Order: sequence, then C-alpha cells, then structure tokens
Amino acid sequence: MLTYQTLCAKHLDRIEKPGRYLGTELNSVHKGDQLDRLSARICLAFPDVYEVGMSHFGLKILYHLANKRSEFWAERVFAPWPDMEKVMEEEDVPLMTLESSTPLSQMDMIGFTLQYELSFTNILHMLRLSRLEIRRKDRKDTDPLVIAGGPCAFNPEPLADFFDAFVIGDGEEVFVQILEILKEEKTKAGRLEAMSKLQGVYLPDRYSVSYNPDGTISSISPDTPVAKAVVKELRLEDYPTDPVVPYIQTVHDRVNVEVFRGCVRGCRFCQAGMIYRPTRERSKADVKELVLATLEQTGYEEVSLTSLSTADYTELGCLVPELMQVLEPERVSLSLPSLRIDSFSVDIAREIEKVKKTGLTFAPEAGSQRLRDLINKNVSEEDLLNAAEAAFKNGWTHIKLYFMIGLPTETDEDVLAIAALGRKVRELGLKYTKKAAVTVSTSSFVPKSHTPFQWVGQETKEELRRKQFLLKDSLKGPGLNFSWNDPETSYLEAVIARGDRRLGEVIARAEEKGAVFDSWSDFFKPEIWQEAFAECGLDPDFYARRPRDKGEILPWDVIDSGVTKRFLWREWEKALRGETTADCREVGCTGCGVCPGLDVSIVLGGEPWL
Amino acid sequence: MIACIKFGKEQGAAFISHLDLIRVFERALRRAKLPLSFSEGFSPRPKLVFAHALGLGITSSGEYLDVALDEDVDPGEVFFRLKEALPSPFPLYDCAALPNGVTPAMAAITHASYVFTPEDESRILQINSMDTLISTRNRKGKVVTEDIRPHISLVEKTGSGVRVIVRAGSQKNVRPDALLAALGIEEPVPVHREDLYIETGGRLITPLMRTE
Repeated sequence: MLTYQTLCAKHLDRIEKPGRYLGTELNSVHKGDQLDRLSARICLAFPDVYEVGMSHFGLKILYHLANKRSEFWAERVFAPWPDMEKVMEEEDVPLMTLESSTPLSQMDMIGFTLQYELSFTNILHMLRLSRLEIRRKDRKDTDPLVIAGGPCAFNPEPLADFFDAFVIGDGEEVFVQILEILKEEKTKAGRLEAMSKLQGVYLPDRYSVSYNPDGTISSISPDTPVAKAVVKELRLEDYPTDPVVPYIQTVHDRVNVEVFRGCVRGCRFCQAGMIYRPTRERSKADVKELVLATLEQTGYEEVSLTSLSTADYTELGCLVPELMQVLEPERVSLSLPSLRIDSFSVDIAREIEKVKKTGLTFAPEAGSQRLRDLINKNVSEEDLLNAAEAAFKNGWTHIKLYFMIGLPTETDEDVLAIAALGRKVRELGLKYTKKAAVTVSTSSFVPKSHTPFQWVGQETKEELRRKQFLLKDSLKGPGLNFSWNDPETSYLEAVIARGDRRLGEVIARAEEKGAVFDSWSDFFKPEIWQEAFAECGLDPDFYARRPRDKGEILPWDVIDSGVTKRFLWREWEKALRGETTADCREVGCTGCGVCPGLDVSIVLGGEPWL
Repeated sequence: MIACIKFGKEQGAAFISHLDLIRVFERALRRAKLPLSFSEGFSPRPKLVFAHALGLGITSSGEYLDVALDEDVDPGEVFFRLKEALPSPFPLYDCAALPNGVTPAMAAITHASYVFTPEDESRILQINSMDTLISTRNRKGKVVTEDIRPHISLVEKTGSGVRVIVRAGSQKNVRPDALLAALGIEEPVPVHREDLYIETGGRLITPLMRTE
C-alpha cells in the first residue's frame, strides 16, 4: 500500500514540503491498533494547504473531542499542494487521511470546515481526489456522510448540492451528538434522520427553493429556519491542551487560548460579531490553567489569547501581568491578535513585549468619523491619535493601520480621510522618533449575510480600483506605506457570500475547469469563473452588486443565527442616519434577539451576566 | 554545562528539514523542562548547536546536538526527560555532560559514515578500485570539478548495504548526493547516516567523547 511516507520517499525531489503529509506530529492520534474497537472513523478536512489548516483552532477542538472518546478516531486531511497532487495522480492514489493513509472514501463521515468562500472549489476538488461523487444525489448510501460547519455554513446555500448536512453554530456539543449518532445508526438515511432532530443541523435536501422571474427567491419550503447550535459557556474539558504540534512552520504556530467567543460591540460589517453572539468569557483562572497545561504538552514559545476583540476581555488588565510573571522567565512570548484603539491597549502591548518585540496594528476601519459612525466602530480620531501617541512614546516606531474601502455610502472625501489620518499619525510619531513610519493597509468591503449590510450592493471593481489609486497617490512620501488587495477576489467573495443554490453549478463548473486555491493570488483565475457564470446563465452582479429590498427572501433565511432580521434592518436604518448602537454590556440590551431567542446569556469572567 | 545529545531520525522524521528540526528540538527541550540557556536580544532562543545538517530524506542513527544549560543536570536525567518529550520518529540514544567552552560539535566534526542500499551494490563498491572520482557541480553559475576520491576513507560491504566513510564538516565535506552523482547514479538510492566522527590523535571518536 502506498502511504504518504512512501510517496514522499519515492518522489522526494518533487515534493516541496514533505512535512505537510507525515501525520506523525507530536500529539497526533493514532488508533490503527484498535480498529476493531472503533464505532466510527471520521476525517476532519480543511480545504486549504496544511500550513493554513493547521492554524485553525476549530479543527483542533473537534479532533480532541472525537479522539478523547475511545470508540471514535478522527484523522485529518488538507488540500494537497499541486506537487503532491500530481504525484498521487501518477501513482493512482486517492486522497488519504494524514494519520493512517486511509482513503477518505472509507470513512464514516468527512467533515469540512467552511472558513472562507474562496476555499469552496478546494472542497469539490478534494472530494474528486477522494474519488467520491461531488454532488450529494450521486453518492451511494455506502459512501461517507459529507458534512460541513464553520462561519460560511451560515449561508450554506451555494454548497447545498454537495453536502449531506451542515452544522450551524458552536460545534462542541452538536459534534459529539453527531458522533453518538454515527455509533447508534448504521445507515446513511438513519443517521441523517437522527441528525435532523438536532439543534444546529441543516439538511439541504429537506428544503426546496423557488424563484421569481427576476431571479429573486419566491419561497423557501418549509419556511422554518434552522436555529444555530450554541454552547452556554466555554467548558474547560472541551479545550484541547494537547493540540497537534506541526513539524513545519504554519501560519499561526503557537498556543491559542480562546478567552471568549462572540462579540457584542456590533460593528455593522462584521459577520463574526453577529453570528457568534453572545459573548461568553472564560474565567481568568480557566485561561491561566489552559495556557500552562498547553505549554506543558506542546513546548510552544508563544501564547496567543484569541477572540474577536481580546482587549475587551473583562479581566485582561490583571490576566496579562499574571501570565507574564510565569511566561517571562521561560522566554515564552504572549501575543494579542486584536488591539482596541486606546491607551489601555498600548499599556497591555508594553507589558507583553517584555519577551519578544512585536508590531502594533490598529483598525479604525474607516477614515472619516461619518463612516466610522455608519459602521458602528465606536472610535474617534482623538482615540486613535491618543493610542498612537502612547505607542510612539513607548518606543514603537512603526504603526500599521487597517481600513476598508468601498463601505456603503463612501465618497472620495471619506477615502482621502484615510490618507489624512495616516499622515497625522506619522506626524505625531515624528515628535518622538525620526524613524516614525505608518503602513496603511486596506481591503475591499464585502457585504456578508446575517449583518446589517446584508442588503447592500458591493461597489464595482473599477470603482474600488479607482479609490485604491486615489489613496495610493495621496499616501506618497517618506515613512508612509500603502498596501491593498485585489478587488477581483473580493468581488467573487461577495458573489458567493450572498449566493443561492443556483451558484452550486457555477462552483462545480469552475472546479471542473481547474479553479483551485482561489484564495491564493498565484492560482486565482477570474476568467474561469466568468466562463462558469456564463455557461450557467447567471449574472454575478446579481449577487454582488444588487441592493436587496427589505422584504426580499434571502437565501440564508433558512438559517437563524439568533440575531433577528428586524434588528439587522433597524441597524441598517440607524447606519444611514449616522446613529451608533452601544455595546449592550454598557447600556443594557439593544434587542438583537440572541439571548431570549436561544435561551443563552452573556457570560463575563466565567459567570452569567445579568 | 553543555548537554551533548545523540539521536536518530527514522523514516518518518527523514523528511523534516534542518530548520524544522531545530524547532522540533526547541519545543521538546521546553517540554522536558530543562534549564535552557537563552540567547539575548529581541527574540530569545535556546542555545542549540547541531553537529552536522542532514539532507532531506536521509535517515540517521548518529545525529548530535549540543544544548547549553544554565545549571548542571545529570546526563541520565537529561536523557530520560528528553526521551519522554521527543516525538516518536526521533529515537534518543545517549547523552553526555560536557564542560562549557568545549569545541562545538559543528566545528569539530571531520568524518561521517553512510550506508547506501542501492539495487546494484557494485556500483558503489567500485570506488575501491578507482584512483580518482570526479565530482562536478555548479557554483554561482560556474562549473567546478573536484576529485573527491581522497576524501573517501572507506568503502565496504555490510549486512544492510555499502558503508562509506567520508570527510564531513566545515573543512571538507562530501555529501551523499554528490557522491552518487559523481558515480553517475541518477535513480534515488536510500541512504542512512550511521554516525559522525571527530578525528583526533589518529583515531575517530564520536562527539560524545569530546573533552576539550
């Protein structure tokens, strides 16, 4: 039998990074000697290359939850890089799990994670390499269940033709329930029937969609949406303190402890801020315990406290010094992925850079106060200048500022305000250091489902490019850098993010024509997608550019995130009036609907709040 | 003290590049909770010196690593703690306590012993009847030829293949792939590194036996 290791040995000169395929990494789980005791074997699939997939923490949680139960074995698979794919094709080897080199087709279930729209062709490609039929209707009853979860499952419709089931929301509990079903039920039909009764499971074949002549949806039947799965609190035992430690360098190669899930700041462009509500914090004691236990079992030299906005963690001010006391003598560095724009965050940054110096990034998201109010980013220019001044005062010389271009109602004046802000920050820095430098980094706004901006049309690629050049011209000069992304990929992202079931055919055709690794600029070929749309008779502008009416049935209405459509529309109206909505932890309930709708509440410091 | 560690790379570890290997050991040493010495600077790292980088795809039973420790630890203790912490494809064979200031293995290595297991062993054994063996390689766009025969100390048949002892290290180094190329062998040949040696006083010792 050909395994990844024998393939690597035989074709060593052709495989760039064999370390991606070894499957023997520290803490990887091997149950090959207990196969007869297993009730089900599953494969967790990340549709991108190893280095990206292994940086994703959700995968590690599910790996842990399955493998700590003796009757299940969860293995991993990632999208093989083209060099390995070529070798597998020549050797006539199907896609296999990393741990045991078992073909994916022999699994009871394959679970894909949907992290970004531009990974969707890789999913189909991986199914093809597994020699499974891409479309659900073509697969046999004896083939594995093919399911998906993750943020993009909140609009599952573009992938409705391919998956047996989608898991919506927090995975910890529903995933274990699904494992139990795999154990109890042995037929695909029986398993799906049992899964249909779980909160958070969406079976696309149980819904039918019809369309109006203008292409909008006329009805979804049945009209009972699937509510997301939600955990009331982040439990200690669900967290893997022994994650797999890769041999090769990955994007995020460190201890990740999620200090809280969900964010209630309410930035109106942010899908994560809507779909993961409410905020559920771990207690400080739990965070410390998890950090130390994971360090013991991994030997990592860096710890990251992750969340959507870590500076908002209630006890951060005490947690960081307490952690540094333990980490500093061991030369373990601490990093915080997202800093708030205030001097408190700069103080925290100062505290953590005792071991390793890092850069500082602030995200005002928009250049003008008008637009920052519109997106509900409750930050003033004064806040930013104060934070920047604190940073320069404390020895930082380089500050990165992150913005979006193409936000609703944006004018050239708003765009130029980005440049003005960048210059102001640099001038402020010059008071402290001659080396003061500012990098302005921009991305193109993509309207996402389940957000107050789900009804708006994306700007044209031409307009986005023009604004990028406008900014580029006004950001010339010493100590100023400007970076931007390709509006072409943001456009495709916008199409798929708010797509309906008819897009499935487009994605399938694009993959057939060779679209793969679309999120990698070296691989992305927009002309393939244009052909695929034309062949299917669909207009991508219909999905990306078209403003929707308040009453329109949206493809993702099949999914109930807990945040009501009424709240989202109210937020959109407030945005247009330039009104902001405060954080509910500061002003009390703002009526998003999550807590009463899903019977959950905000958890602060490990304790229910209110 | 300097803890000199002898370890191996089994099949599954042979594909771990030298840079990645450094990380594997840094993390294993941290898990082993040894009193590591760290470098100064913006990004402190444990002070590790590997004796001699191993090419990708080559297995080994004779790799050496010098680890600087802030306190003296019994070498048996280092051995057991590290054995526990290393991933399975990295067997641990031995550990010696050496004084601070000992010549780093990297600078001291003079010879390496490889076992080749080709389909046709005679193609390697023929070195014994050759007076010269010309290696040709590209160096910065220029073709450089060199007779590597004087740097091959021993070629002999063993139970598992053909053992070749060559010069290795910072002075003169014969890479196994260069040796195969010089012989005109193009197909991949499994190679195993048996051990690394230091020539001193006319005999070969291993890095564990260093005294100065």
